[in-house]
Amino acid sequence: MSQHDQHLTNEELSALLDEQFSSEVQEAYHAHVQTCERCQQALAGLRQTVALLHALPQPALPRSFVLPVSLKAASTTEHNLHLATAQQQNSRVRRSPGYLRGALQFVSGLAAVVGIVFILSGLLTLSPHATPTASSAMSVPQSRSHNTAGQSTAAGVGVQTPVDAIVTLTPGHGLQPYTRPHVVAAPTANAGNQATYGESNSSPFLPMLLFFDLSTAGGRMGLGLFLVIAGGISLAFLSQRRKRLPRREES
Amino acid sequence: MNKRALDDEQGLIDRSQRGDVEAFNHLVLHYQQAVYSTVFRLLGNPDTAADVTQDTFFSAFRAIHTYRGGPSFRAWLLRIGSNLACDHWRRVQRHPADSLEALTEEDTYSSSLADMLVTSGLDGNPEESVLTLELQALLQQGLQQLPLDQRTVLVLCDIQGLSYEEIAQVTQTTLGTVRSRISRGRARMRNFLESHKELLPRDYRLTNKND
Repeated sequence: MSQHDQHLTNEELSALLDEQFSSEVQEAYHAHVQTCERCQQALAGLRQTVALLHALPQPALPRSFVLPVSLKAASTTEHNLHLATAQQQNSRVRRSPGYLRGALQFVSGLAAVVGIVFILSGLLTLSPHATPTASSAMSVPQSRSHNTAGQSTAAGVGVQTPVDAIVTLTPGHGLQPYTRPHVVAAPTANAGNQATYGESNSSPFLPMLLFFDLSTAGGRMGLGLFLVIAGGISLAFLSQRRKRLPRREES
Repeated sequence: MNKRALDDEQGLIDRSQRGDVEAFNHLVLHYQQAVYSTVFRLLGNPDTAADVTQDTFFSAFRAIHTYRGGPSFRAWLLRIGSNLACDHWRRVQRHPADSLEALTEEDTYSSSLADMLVTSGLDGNPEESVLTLELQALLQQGLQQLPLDQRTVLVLCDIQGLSYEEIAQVTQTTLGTVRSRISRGRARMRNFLESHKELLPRDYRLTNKND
């Protein structure tokens, strides 16, 4: 093997230190270094840096990290781990993204439910015995239970506008046909709009919400379908992010 | 690890994959020093390192069914640990006001250093470090000013003693990438130390053309 006459790059020197080359190449490089002061100094500097890092002491373990043995069967592992991890997190600085994620999940779920309401109302309007009131009465238990969940979750959350609109509309009097869904369905479009669809047809916003004509059954079903899909996708996306395993990103 | 120990470990892994927490805890006891040390050197704060280490073992147990024996178990654990540590670091970088530790990073390190100086050597007896406290703090500072990817490989290679192959498994990159990051990390570390020469002990003084 011919003598290696060129200076070694930092990367070659570093790899030489770690014996990353074949024995032939290793020998050739070492032979060069022996006769080259510049490379000798560079290699020596590298060696010292590595030696310093080697010499750092292992930090003492502050405690044992064994898992609580109550984490038993595989089927309940996920649930228990969430509980245990939540307890662990209580002692740490709260991370606000968790709340935001929960709020977004709630809104997505609600949008999907509202979409189902729309689809049902559209279907029922098309059938001969249906009335808007009947369909909204049917959907009351479904929506209200979600509202209750929403209210308790929303208490600790900063998502104000759509939830507030729900809270002010539900207590006491029954469901105004399509009122609440309108408000929730368009948090970005027009969150403040509380006009009731059943009582007034003169509001400029309602009939053409999100390009769907709500005065027709077909329009309502279309909007409902859109909401279900949008809500479902964003719920899935948000849930996926929560459960995703640690993944490395290139920095 | 010899074959007998590897078989024992595989047995523990198998039992862990069937939900046996006590078996998994044997693995925790074996690897927790390595994980904690790595995470600590990546983040510089002992309390944060403890939290991240605990998270690492929770995550590992939850995901143990995905371990198929490709990388070594140590590399697999360190991958989870270093990922969580890096995630934490990036999160703190983005929102430093949310984290008290970002404000008190240096103080925390030097004040807890005295507690940490007494560590156990290979035989379990306490050892004193040959480096002064100031120098240890300087080295930690040097590590923390490195970009995350260089810091990770340097901690794994020069502090934890992993091979390039294992480091490639931990970081999910190629040998070439590992090699280049190690060399850049060392060069950058050397430049950092050179700018603080006065703190280096006599025998560790960096050679300099001008000396």
